[in-house]
Amino acid sequence: MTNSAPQPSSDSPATLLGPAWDLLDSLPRVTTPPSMTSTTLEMVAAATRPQPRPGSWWQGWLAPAAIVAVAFAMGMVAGRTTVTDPEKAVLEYLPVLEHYDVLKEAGSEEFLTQVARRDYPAPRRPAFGRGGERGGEIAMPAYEALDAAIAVFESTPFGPDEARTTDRRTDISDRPLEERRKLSDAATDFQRLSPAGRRDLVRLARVFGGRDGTGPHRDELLDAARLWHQWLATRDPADRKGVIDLDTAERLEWLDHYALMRPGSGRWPRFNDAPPVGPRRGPPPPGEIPGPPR
Amino acid sequence: MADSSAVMASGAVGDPSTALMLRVRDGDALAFEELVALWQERLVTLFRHHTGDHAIAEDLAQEVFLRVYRARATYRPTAKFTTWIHTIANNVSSDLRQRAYRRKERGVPHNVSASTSALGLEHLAVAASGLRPARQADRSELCDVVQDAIATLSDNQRMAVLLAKFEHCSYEEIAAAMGLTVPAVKSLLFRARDQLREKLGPYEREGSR
Repeated sequence: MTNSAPQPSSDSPATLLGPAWDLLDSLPRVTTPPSMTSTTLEMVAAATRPQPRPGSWWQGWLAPAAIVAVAFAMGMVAGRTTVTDPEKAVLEYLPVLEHYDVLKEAGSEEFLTQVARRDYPAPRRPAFGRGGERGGEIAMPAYEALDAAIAVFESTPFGPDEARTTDRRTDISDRPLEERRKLSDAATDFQRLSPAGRRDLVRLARVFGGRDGTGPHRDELLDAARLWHQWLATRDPADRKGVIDLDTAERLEWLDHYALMRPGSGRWPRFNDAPPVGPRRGPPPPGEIPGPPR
Repeated sequence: MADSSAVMASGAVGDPSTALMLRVRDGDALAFEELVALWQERLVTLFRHHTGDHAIAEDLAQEVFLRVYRARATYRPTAKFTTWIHTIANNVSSDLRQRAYRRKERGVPHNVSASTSALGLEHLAVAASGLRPARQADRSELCDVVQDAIATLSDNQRMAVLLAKFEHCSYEEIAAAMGLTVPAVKSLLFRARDQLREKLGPYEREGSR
């Protein structure tokens, strides 16, 4: 168990401790189980086995951080592609937003095309709130807002262009507060439209500006827009917004109701009424949007 | 070659443990196994009497072997292997003491050594009174009494006494293992002798009869 006991010298711990030295021999003998050697070797082997390199503390966070960063980047990309920035919309489509009300009222190229083809008559009564005789032919009043919009669409390109947006940023910042607020509201409304609705307005602005080489078709559409504006003007202003918000088919139905009323009869047309005088305004040609059921 | 001369210069020539340790340092697994087999009972004995608990003693002995193995590459035979391993054993014991102290600070009961426990003192009181009558104490009773007396020593005193008694260390070797001077070791042992005499006096007289 222990080393062989040497003879105590005169100056050794044994002599110093005296009689207690011998009494320590009565302490119990200690034995170890035979398996302890193998247990010890296994413990040492396990404790000193090369562990997979744990890496520094930041490496443990690297993978989760990378995942978060990639997810963030993907979110940014997805957000930019699906949700347009209102400020960016203002900068890119400033002319559209400046004349948003005109375009919103006109609706879409499709609607104006239908109006032009159906050849609706001009209203026979003056605009709402204006005096004048009913039943007579009313000269088409000027639609200054549309003329102003056309002038802008003709002269000012719009759409994504970094150089132009930089200039427009400066332009907008120089405008009065009220005008900037109006632009901001228009941008908010523009953003609330469906993607198809936004495309329709931008397309219409291009057509009005003659940017798509529409030629005579453009003039037809402009006349249709003016006629539609004229019909809207006959309605109570409180009702106009609801009419403007109608989709193409509903607008056409609305127009059929009011524009096809028999002149001077003061009643809605009936199925057995004689056809109206003038060019036939019957059902649309095949393939076009049908009118409302009678 | 340099190691061999160092071994000769340090007087470790012929020390089988030193030779084994040099082989362990060179990556000889079998030598480590031999070293464990050679030393484990000695270390368990040392720690068993130091802590009073056999299971703890085995754990501490394994801890010593683990430290030996981890430090094998830095081993230099400038002194006897016994001094080196005694130093490690003393460090392991000190670490255990510090852990026990920290547990005590946190209010966790510990069962490491009876040296400061009330139970050890109670046992000692019984041994010093009820068992004092002149009847001859049998060996198991004497064993308990001596164990309790050892337990009353301070940790340093106990380690010095045990190294001297069971490892046959000289003052110099004890001093080297415990990081003390020789006079300090003598002082430790002197005070230990007085304390043991106080507790074991009756048995010393009977033992000397």
